[in-house]
Amino acid sequence: MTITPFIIMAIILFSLGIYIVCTRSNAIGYLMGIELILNAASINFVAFARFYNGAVDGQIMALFVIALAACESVIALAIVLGLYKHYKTIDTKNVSTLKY
Amino acid sequence: MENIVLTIIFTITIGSACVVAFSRNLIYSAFALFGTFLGVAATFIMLGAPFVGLVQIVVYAGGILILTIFAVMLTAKIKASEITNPVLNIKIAIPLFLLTLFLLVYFLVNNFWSGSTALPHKEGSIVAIGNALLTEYLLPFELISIVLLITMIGAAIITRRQLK
Repeated sequence: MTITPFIIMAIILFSLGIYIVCTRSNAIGYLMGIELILNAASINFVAFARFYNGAVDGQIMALFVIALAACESVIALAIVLGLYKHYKTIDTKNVSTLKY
Repeated sequence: MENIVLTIIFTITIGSACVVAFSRNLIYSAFALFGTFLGVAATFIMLGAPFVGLVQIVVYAGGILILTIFAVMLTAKIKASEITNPVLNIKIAIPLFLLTLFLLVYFLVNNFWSGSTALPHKEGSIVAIGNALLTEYLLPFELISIVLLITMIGAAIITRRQLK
């Protein structure tokens, strides 16, 4: 077992995340892309820790990434629900301000 | 045997990530995200990090995904035929996507990482994680807990009802 398949997997996930962030106009769609990007980063952390270091530092970084992703997701979805309450849409083309 | 399992995990993860990326309906994307998260968790377990894999399942598949599906159902009208997740900026997105893919693959094939084999697998990585979290990484650990608390308060404040 080499590191290459894991890196390829992370590359594909990251690129798909970039594609989603570029193409979506729905705010929740963006978030899914960001989750994919963060997952790719965690895979890289864990894979390099496993194959080059042998210590647990990479796993701890992956845990921190997961915790911060949870925070980011909660806040972003709260903002999305607030936007929906006010604008009745979450399409980012129609929503250009956070203030009301 | 290992390669077969890895291929299955790879297929599930990338396949459902493609559904997330190319589905026109937001709810399909949200459900396909489940497969991606499970596949990534399985990858972590394959990499000898079972604790990270379990946390991935609990936090991502159990928490973030449920929250995302709730948000989708609270904000979008769910009909199977309806486009709730339109695609735009495709002229910018495709080159950027290909450029990212090309650059990363370029770095990959330029032999930075070739010839690596797995280090001898250490048992008991959960004990090591616990020790490292409470000694070397104590400050970030505590900061994360404060960030979680602030997140909870912030989400409650953002979504509260306005009192008249």
